[in-house]
Amino acid sequence: MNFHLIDWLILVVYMTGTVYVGLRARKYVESMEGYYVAGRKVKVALGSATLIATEIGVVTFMYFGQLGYLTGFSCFILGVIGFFGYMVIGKSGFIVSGLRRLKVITIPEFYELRYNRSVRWLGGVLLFLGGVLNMGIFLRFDGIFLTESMGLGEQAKAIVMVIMLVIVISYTILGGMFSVIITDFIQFVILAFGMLIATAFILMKVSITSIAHAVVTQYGSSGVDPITNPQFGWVFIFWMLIGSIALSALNQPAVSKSFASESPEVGRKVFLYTGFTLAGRYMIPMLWGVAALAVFGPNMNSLVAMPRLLGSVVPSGMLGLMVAGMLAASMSTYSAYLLAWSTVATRDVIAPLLKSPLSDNQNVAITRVIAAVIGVFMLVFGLFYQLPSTAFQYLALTGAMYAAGAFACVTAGLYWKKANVVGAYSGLALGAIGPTAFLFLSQLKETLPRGLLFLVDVNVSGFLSFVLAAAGMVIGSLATQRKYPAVKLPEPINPDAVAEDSNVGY
Amino acid sequence: MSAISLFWMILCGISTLTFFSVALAITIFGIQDLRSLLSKSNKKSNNGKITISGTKDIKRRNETQ
Repeated sequence: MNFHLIDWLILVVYMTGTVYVGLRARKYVESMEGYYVAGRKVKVALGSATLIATEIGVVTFMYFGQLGYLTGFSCFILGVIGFFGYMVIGKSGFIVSGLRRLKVITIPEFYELRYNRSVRWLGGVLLFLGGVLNMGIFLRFDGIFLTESMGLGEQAKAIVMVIMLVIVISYTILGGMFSVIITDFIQFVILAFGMLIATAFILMKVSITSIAHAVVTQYGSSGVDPITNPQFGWVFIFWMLIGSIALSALNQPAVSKSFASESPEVGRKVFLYTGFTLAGRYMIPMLWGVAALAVFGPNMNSLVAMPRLLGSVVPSGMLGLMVAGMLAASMSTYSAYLLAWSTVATRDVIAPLLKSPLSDNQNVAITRVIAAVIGVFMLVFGLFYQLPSTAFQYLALTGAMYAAGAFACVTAGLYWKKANVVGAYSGLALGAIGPTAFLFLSQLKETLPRGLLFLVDVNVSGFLSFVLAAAGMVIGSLATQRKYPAVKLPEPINPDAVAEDSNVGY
Repeated sequence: MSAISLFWMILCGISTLTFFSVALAITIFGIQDLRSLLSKSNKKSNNGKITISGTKDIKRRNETQ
């Protein structure tokens, strides 16, 4: 075992402290907006910290580490594309400022304002299913990372997964967005420190020249050129270019940080400052993965290589700090995702089906129950599901399941007057077809006729989902303008009045 | 080391340094923001009980549609 007494002490102190702070945050929840979007009072630096913490988890380190191990420097292109995506949003306020101005809590709420309640329900179902499938593998990756880096062995994986889940669920369910934001901030500081420790010790043990040499000798030109690398190519790059903007602006856990900000301008700036860190947060774990290639060679389990390297190069004491940092990263991601998807399920899937509206207390109670159910699903799914592609591609594809349709509906809804309800239905349905087909057909790959094999190419499937969703929105809207004229968006309420609005009656 | 390997390594180095520099700045300013958030919210705290509708704006907007 790599973990010693001092490491365990650091870990226990950190975990206990986080749960205590998260539970204490409960006292700040004063209204439903307080629970879901922290009363919309979050400023730029805090919003950026919590967004970065949300978007970095052990799962992020794992899939980027796996990509680095399998593709060498080629995968660094994703850091450049991700940076580009956040900069587009951060500079222009594309999508996020428009949604924040309308004061929605979830993305499907926008569908009701711009289209109708049924579109909201369909959008909510797709968002929830795609989001939960996306999140389904997180816990498993944490289990692999922790057991490998701490040297606990494969048999401890399920126990580690259960402990992680219980801790995060406890404070997320009780404290809502206030807990998420406060613990996210603490976790942001610790995870940045953990990343610094890991990078420093890896670079002390593995030289840059040996890393570069390993890439060239093991992978040749495909290790440095993303176009010729068989995992990537042009279709993948085009998919990522669209997907990076769509997933950044429409990933409910991330965009809810913009909804929680004190104004649309602050919401935009949160994305801008987060964007500056984006290339680094992609490339740092990728570099760890490439370093694992240099140390272990190319024949190891690609998921296990990077955490095993960390476990072997980081000394006792520092290992406890690093693992605390990695756990911090995961806990902030889980809490934000659990809250986001349970909010969507409550407000956009269950509430529209009921005849009478839910009270605030009922809303929050249902959200808490759903968060717990999602947690159990993650545990079962994480233990038994076999990934059909690399972890990164699986996540990008399940993300595309909801983001492709949402991107067409929200972009057209905000910026195109002719977008109507038929276009919205078509966009949502066609956007989900490609990824859904891939997930099912990839299990039957051997029996598929040759003509349909393109459907099990993850890159084609992901790229097509965005093309089909956009085509569905444009053709559907233009073909039915007379019968279903577009609904105009309501005038946004003065954003400065939010804090007062949500506290009327106190 | 080939030119393209060198390019990726330099890019990775710049991105890593930017990440940690921005993270440090966000930590410093974030502490102030967190204090401000908690002091504002604490004044209106209701011990975790959710007592009124926080969706007045959405409801009001739906009514005016």
